[in-house]
Amino acid sequence: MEVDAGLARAVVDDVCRRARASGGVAVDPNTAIDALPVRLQSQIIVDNNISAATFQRFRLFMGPGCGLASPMALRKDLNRAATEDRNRTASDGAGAYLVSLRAAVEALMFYLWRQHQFVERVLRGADGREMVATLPFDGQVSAGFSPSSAIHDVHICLRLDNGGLLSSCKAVLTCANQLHPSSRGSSILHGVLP
Amino acid sequence: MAAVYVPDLDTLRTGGVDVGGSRRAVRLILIGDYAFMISWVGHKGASSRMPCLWCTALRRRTQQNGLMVDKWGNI
Repeated sequence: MEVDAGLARAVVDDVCRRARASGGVAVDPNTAIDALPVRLQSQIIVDNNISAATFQRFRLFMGPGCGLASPMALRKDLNRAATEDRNRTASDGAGAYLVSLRAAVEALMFYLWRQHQFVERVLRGADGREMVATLPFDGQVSAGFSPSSAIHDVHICLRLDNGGLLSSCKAVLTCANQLHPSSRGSSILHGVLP
Repeated sequence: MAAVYVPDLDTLRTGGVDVGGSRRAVRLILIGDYAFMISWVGHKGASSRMPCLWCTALRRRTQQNGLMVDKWGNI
């Protein structure tokens, strides 16, 4: 694979020009990959369905100093991630599913809140006006009714995802309190049913 | 299917989730086709006497259901 030096130069020049125009400072990120944590690399592999062999081929292509994790480090990190509460799964005759849905949802909320990506969603009344939530949530006895519209809430969507190479039915949870709730990386795969 | 997922979801809805240090209620929104939603909720479907998932309107007025139509309306 050859990289056109002129094209690369043009891209960098364009980035610098935009940074100057916006009053910012452009920094050439020549050590960015060194700072890429192993967990992030694992997430990239899982999210993009990259096989370990392809990733290692890419690592060898980039060279030993590129900062990409070794197969053993990646495997160890994936195993560690699989034992965390939010990722732990179980399977039985009905299919495979998350053991602790609460841990998965709270991890997503924590991530959204920490990254300042949590977006408040409001309800609208019968007249179309936005309803302001002011009350805290103290728990409710039954799940059979919706909470009052005056209570602070989060909107969790449950949907099905059918199809795939092997026909299956997947229950997917997404949180509407973010900018792109339906993107694949923002959703929680709750379970897979054959 | 619902037998596996409903207990978890009910726990979320009764207990809420922690967001930024405060507890919030969970509002569950079903997304999908009508067949999925009626099977999840336990509704009898579009051919039942009350075919709509979101309201109580009856299908049509018949000789027997006049009082119910007066009370709940029809489509």
